[in-house]
Amino acid sequence: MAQQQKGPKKWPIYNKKMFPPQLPGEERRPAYVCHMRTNIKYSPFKMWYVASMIRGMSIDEALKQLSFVNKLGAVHVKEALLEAQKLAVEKHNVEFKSNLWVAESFATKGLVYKGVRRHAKGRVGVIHYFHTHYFVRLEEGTPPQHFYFETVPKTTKTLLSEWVDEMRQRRIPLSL
Amino acid sequence: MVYFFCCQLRQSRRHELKRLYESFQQFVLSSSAFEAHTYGKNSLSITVKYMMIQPSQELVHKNESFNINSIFDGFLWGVPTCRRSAEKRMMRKYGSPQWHNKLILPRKDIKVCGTCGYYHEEKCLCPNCYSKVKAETTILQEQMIKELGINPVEKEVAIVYQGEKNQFNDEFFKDNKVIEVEKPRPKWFSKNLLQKSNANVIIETSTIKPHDLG
Repeated sequence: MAQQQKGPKKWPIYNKKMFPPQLPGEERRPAYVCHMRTNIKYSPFKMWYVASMIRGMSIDEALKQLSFVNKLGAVHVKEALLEAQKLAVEKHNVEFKSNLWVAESFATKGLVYKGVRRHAKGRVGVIHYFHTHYFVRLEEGTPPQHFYFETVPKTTKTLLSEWVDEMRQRRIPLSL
Repeated sequence: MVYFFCCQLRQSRRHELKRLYESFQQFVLSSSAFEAHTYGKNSLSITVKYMMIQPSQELVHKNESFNINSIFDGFLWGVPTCRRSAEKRMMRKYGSPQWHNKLILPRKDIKVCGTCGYYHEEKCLCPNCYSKVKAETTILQEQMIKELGINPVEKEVAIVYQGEKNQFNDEFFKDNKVIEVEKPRPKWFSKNLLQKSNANVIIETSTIKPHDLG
């Protein structure tokens, strides 16, 4: 009974944050919605792969991709995204439900129940039954071109300079 | 038995084995995991009570160099010998494009179905459309089973939907085993879908017009 009340509480408080009125020349602050799903019966280590895949994607693209990911965590993440989309439109002044992108997406460790298993020769092993909390923040607008730095295509200038650096790092072994 | 074995080997290997045997003897006698008795010069009888993993108690002989790796000779089972480097840990967690990519990459082979607008994999049928077809098929199959049962089928089976009975003449009802289904024909189920391609083929040079379209 007491364990059901345990869990993160601070993430949805970001939704209640009041910003001061914007100045006339200031760039429009995009609307956002923070949503979470707590104590999903899934490992946070496995959930990490699903959460990291959808970072920086538009909501439609994220939902499409998640439908074809063969993981249990993907089902929970998809449901959380749909809930967040609904909240954004109904309560957070977002005009178009498609005009959202995944700004933040991460998973943390939740409840852990411990069990016992047998090994050979009378030895005992511990089993961990993990739960995970999934957090997502959707922001209004178009997603950035490259969320991860690694996906940025390298220009010929950078490729050339990197190649030159590699060539210059070469050394003759056992030389003076 | 061990002493006899030692005599067969070279000097250096014999010393190593002797040292190993002596340390084993020491370990066995001192530890409470075994009930051990020595008798004779090189005989040792052991009864194992329960196994404990303990570091070996190495005897360092005078005038002999001590090899640190000898502590692993047979006494530390199933235990890591080296710390996993950060590179190894990263490879196991994230993988590599050249080796085995553990990251889930977004798929590029997802298409939109032209009929219903749902997504499906490139090489597969649209599951939404297929489920509709499957539902209709099960209804027809249930009706067929109801009417035919386990009797052998000697005539062609023809399915007639609600409101289509008037279109057919008596000859049709004689030639085919007609199964009437109490529901209207679905919009996507045209009549020519069940036409046999090799029946009544008339080879003519003139244009052939499609007939009995739903």
